[in-house]
Amino acid sequence: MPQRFFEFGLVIFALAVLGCGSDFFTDPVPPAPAPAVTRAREAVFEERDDTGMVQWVLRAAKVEQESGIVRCDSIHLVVPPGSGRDNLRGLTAFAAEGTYAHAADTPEATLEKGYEMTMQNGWSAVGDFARWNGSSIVTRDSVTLSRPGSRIYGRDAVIHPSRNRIILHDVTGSIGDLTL
Amino acid sequence: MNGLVAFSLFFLLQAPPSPSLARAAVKDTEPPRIEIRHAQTVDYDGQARLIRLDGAVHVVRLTMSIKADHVVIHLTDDEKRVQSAVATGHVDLVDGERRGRADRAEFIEASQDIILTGNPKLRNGPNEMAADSIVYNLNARTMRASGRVRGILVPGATF
Repeated sequence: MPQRFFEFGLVIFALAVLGCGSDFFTDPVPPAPAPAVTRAREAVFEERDDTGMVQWVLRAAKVEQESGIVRCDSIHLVVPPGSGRDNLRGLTAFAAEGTYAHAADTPEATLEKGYEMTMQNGWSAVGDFARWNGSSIVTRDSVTLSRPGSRIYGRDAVIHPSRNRIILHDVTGSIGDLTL
Repeated sequence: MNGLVAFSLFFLLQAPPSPSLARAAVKDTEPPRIEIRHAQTVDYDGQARLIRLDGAVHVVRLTMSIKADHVVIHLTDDEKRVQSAVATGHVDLVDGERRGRADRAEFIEASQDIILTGNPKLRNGPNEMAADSIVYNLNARTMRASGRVRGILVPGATF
């Protein structure tokens, strides 16, 4: 595994700096032992390698943190493409909701309530639920993979953007635009 | 070759195309499509330029149906064409009235040949053929069997 360091700090944009501005507020009726809840807008989580190159970025329009789990609205995940042949390895994904957590140097983000994913290699995927661990995406509860002329349905899928690889299980569908 | 003389037969199909083949001719004007009726796993490997199907694989392309344990589709660099495809394990190939069985079937895009090996058998109605290797050409609809060829050819019946 390449040496990496993680920058998982919650990067809050200038408009939503914690503790100031109208977009941040604490619980209006603070009961004594209630867990701390932090809300913010325009949050960005990202990982860089030891050369400073961004490995992935996860943006959320709105976040709410409670007990170590960050609930997110309007998630946008970006895995930037590499250079040369590696340029087929990137992807972007959008989801209505999700979560973000980070433990033991492994981030874990979920994409929930429907996601749409576009991969640099030309495939796109849609489904209800997916989980991102910093290197791969695991979907569940059915996934539809498509690109022009092709549409493949699977029960679940594992997508490795860095390896330009997609594995589906329980598959039906069709592969088109291929001259056989 | 172990005392066995390689023997080849070349059958030119002279019968008019079956209705299913006529349908194929119409569909040939459309983009070819490989329908995946079932596979337990599909593994798209963009680095190796291949799609691997495993587990009770059933794929259909126009009039041809292939069932096998595994199918590997090798793509060209631009991934817009199939370079070759290999089906292995309990291969059962049906094309119109023709039915082939083998341990392995390899499709070569350049020649449009399907090479059946591993106890290959090809049957069409009363005609049956078995050999070490059977090559079936999709364009010419011809069959060539070689190596320990044995079978039944009924006069008047097409292969």
